[in-house]
Amino acid sequence: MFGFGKKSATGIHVSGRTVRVAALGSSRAGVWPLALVESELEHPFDPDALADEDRRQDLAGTLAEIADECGFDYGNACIALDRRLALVKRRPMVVGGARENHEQLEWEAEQLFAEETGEFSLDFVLTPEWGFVVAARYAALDLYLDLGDEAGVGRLDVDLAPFALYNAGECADLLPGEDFELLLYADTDEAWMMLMEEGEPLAVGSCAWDEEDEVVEVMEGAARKLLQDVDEGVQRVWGAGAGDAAWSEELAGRLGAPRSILDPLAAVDPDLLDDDATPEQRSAYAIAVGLAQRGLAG
Amino acid sequence: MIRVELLHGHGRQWPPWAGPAAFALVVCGGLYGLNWLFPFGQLIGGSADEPAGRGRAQEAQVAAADPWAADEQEAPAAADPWAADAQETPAADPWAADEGEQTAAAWPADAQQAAPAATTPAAPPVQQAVQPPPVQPQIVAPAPVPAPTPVATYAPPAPDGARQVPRRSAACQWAVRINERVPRGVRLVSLTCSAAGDYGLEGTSASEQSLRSFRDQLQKLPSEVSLSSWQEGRAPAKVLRFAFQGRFEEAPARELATLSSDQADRLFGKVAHWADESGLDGLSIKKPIAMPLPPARTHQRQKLWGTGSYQQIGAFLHKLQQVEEIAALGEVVLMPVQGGEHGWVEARLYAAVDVVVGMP
Repeated sequence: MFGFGKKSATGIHVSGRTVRVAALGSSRAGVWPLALVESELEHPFDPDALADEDRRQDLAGTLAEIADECGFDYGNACIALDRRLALVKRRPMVVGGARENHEQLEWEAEQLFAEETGEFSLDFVLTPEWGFVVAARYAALDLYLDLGDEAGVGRLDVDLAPFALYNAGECADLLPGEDFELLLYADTDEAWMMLMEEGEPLAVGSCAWDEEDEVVEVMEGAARKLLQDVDEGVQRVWGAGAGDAAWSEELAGRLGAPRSILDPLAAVDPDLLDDDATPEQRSAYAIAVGLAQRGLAG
Repeated sequence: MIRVELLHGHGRQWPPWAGPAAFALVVCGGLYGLNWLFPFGQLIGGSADEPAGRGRAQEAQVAAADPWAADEQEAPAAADPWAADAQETPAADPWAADEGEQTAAAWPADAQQAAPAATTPAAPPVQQAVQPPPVQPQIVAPAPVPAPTPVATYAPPAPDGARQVPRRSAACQWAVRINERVPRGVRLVSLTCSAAGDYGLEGTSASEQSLRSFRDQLQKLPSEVSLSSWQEGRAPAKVLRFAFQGRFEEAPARELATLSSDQADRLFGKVAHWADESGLDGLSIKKPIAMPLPPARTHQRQKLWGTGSYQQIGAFLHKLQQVEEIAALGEVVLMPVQGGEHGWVEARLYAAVDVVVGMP
């Protein structure tokens, strides 16, 4: 009541063995980072681990330790869904308003899932040209709720990594709305991509690789798939992530576009930032920051 | 800011029996509490002393005072035009006999021979065919989109700012006929098309060879098409997926003839009748939406959802083609329900029928 509009929110991004947590505070004066923390798990955290109580407890314990050490809580937290647990399907819009398209997407989703429809939680993202059906199994969401309970999360939300990446770029006042831009978050063994047209999502994709794979080739394959409808190529690649920085640079080169760093805190007053961290290092928290930004937005 | 709401206010999914069980628990608890305050034994003993006819008399009084009760009694006697139609003209599926061997039949020609003639069938009121929309609102979160535009008046503006008058177009019919060119080993997951000629195909293929064959077929069509395919998953569950985007060549087309409001209503009634007559199941037809057009006209759109075999869908689309001067298929989405090795057996259909209506 007397906090003068101060709020805080936390974003949690787990990829492989790495847990990244971004805690942000906000007031009328703006947004600032409370903590950007990374921790390593003993084993990669995947859908099997989510369903395994011991391994989920392991992650919950790690999250609780991070909060204790950094002096924040998970009163308002958002976690990124595992790449394998969320389905994003793009569908063309039909003539009509948002409600019409919403109903149409719902109908199409029902056809796609057939008798399994009731097992999925669905939501839709509408752009002027496309509708994105986003689905996740209730069973998986329940496990995330369990994880939230075990980690002491007050209010838990889940979201998809590419949407968090978009939110991070938008809140950082990047993404000037060029004809076509590619957002890339490359971690050590997986990558997320979002193709945007004039600032609106056009396509979403992801890829993963093994040790024997040529990483940039895998990423290029995924990027070309997104670019199938784009005749003129992308004007810019926004790179983020903890993967080798050379990957995004090489991918941008192959796509014939310049690469920029997606620093999720680019719009934050520099006095409030840790001087030691470079934009590249902060970019590893792009998804976690985007998730926290969502929490701050309400 | 993009935000998807998948948790819906942290609602944990309860097992299906939990709701009824909780309800039963509450009812039992309530009855137990009531029994504690006002023992039922006394109440039952007291009511037994009342004259037997009194309860019925009270019920009759209540019924007389309750207009809904009267409606309910009358409702079963209301005339059902669909029921009458069904008695006069049994809903025969003209394709039922062919269904076993029909996957590659060219429907328009066959439909002309086998489907009942599209003379002037008694147009039943559309409301009779209306069912609740095929949606499950309980699993839908508020859409993370701008405030909904009033449905009845919205249409995307044409590039020059004016709304485009619907024109005659057979693009959607052509797109659906692509199904006849799908080679073995290729499975369509969805087919979409708009009257403007843009179409999209998504699906899976058993092999590169089948996909190449399909691509070659598509490239023979008078349309531009961009093809893309990719492997999804890892062995042994590897799947070859494809997405084709195409656009039929534009041909000069006349605007749809302008109908009066009554004519439009009758036509939409016929559309509903044709869909039913063609054998489409699970029909759902919503109230037409209207979008203003200059000068003093409206673009009315009737949306229809249903499920049927390729022949049934073809018969329905063929009927629509017979009124191409006054109605166009504005959008179509076909989502096959996979079954068997030889392609799909039936598909879910979404179709939007456009007409132009003059303002009185």
